Amino acid sequence: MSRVSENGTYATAVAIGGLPIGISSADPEFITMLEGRYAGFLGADGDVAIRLKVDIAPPSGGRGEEELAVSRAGTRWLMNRGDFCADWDPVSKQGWVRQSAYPYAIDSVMRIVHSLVLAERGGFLLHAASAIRGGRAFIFSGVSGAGKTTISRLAPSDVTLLTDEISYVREMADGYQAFGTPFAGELGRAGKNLAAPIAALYFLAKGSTDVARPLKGSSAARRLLRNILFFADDRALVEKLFRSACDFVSHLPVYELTFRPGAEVWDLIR
Amino acid sequence: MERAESLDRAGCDIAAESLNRGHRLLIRVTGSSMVPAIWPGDTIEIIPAGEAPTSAGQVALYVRDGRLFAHRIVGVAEAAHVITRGDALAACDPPAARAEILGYVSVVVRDGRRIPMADGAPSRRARMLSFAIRNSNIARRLILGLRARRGGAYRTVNRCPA
Amino acid sequence: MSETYIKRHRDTAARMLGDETIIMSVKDSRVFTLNPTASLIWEAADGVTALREIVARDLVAEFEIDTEAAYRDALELVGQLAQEGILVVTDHPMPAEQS
Repeated sequence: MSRVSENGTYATAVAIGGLPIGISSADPEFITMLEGRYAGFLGADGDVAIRLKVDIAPPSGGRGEEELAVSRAGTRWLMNRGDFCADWDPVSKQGWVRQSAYPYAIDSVMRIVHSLVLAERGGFLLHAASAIRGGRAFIFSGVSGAGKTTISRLAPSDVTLLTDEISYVREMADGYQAFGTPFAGELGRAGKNLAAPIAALYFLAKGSTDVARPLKGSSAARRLLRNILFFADDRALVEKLFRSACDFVSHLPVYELTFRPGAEVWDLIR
Repeated sequence: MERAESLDRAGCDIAAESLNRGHRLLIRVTGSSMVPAIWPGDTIEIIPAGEAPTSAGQVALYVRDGRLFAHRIVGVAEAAHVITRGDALAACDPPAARAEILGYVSVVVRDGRRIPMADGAPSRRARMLSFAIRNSNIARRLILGLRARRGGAYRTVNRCPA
Repeated sequence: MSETYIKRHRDTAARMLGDETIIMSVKDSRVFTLNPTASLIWEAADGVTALREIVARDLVAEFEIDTEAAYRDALELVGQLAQEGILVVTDHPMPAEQS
């Protein structure tokens, strides 16, 4: 997948949610590391929607603010954390990242960039597991310990896991789709690079029976908002996310799913 | 892709025993519930529970359902229990017994740098923007007032969605 | 006695879901839910209709209840929404260009 350009940089593309991001660097080992890390989600470099040039620099050695800050400067987004800084212009679609060879920095940059693009387009990242069954996607949201990892582990063989940690929801012309991501949670493995129309959203709770209780609009919207991952202190996008969450619960069934720690709960998920 | 460390029940036992013996522990984080203080990929250094007092603001390591969690103590339920919550999450975890706390996060290791774990809840700016939800209980008085005057019944009015 | 006027704060985003209203204060992303009765008042908060008229038209007529008691309750409600920063409460009309 990687190629060497005329000026001696190496490039690859990582496509998540149908959004290919081209990443280039003068360091071939960094590109090789990325291709190993995002195997299954590599795209063709020629089709990228966004290009990021990564400058590999030695670790900053403790200088700089550790707290993540994501802010706008004109049309550009600036991202800073102790281990990286990045600057991306959605208009030109070009950007750069300065970091060491530490792989989790580019991981974070990817999450942040995707969350910004999704927010603009009516989607969001969600603290949730998601899986495909019968050609439709089901989302399982809830706080740590509510059962995202458990319900993922209990999935029968006809279920394809998209993620056990961070769900990728996009608004499409004909509804909402869930996409697999390479961002592994506790299960320690990347999701499948697949997508499917979303059939339902479940908020998980552990209990002594398996039962799905429909949640009405405002309750569903509040819970959904609690679980959206977003990193920028930007009022316009926050307002978009609010509207997207309200739209989502208006169009799709939302349930509170109480379940025992057994595979029988999947009998309810069809 | 690098596999994240997933500790099963045996792994939890090993972690607990190690901390109980006074050793410090290093754990690679996979979840995102403590963003932005702790990110997936960070390594957290845990000091044994006995080396620090239990207090709000500490990020405590505890076992639940055979898995390890590192969440911030946001309150005390009663003498024997604490309330924890992931920084990224608006909802609290079920109460954890103090006896379940194995240790506390003292340092976050990221890209070779050791970042002391800040006590106390992150600033509003520092928090990942999970929405702070507040239910408007204030509307209840109005509806209760109406119900009392009509002997407990009231009609809802059908409104078109905005 | 001066009238009370109420207007939805411009730094809010709101949506009716079912018979409740969910409101977000975009300044700090706090979210509120209003029950059906409070939703009626919120929807009528156009800045130019006096609260007394809103109560008479939307609450008393619908629920056949005591006007003065309903008005006192409504005043308390709008005061609390104003404290939360999502409603503007004044003693004069607020036409569209103000907020």
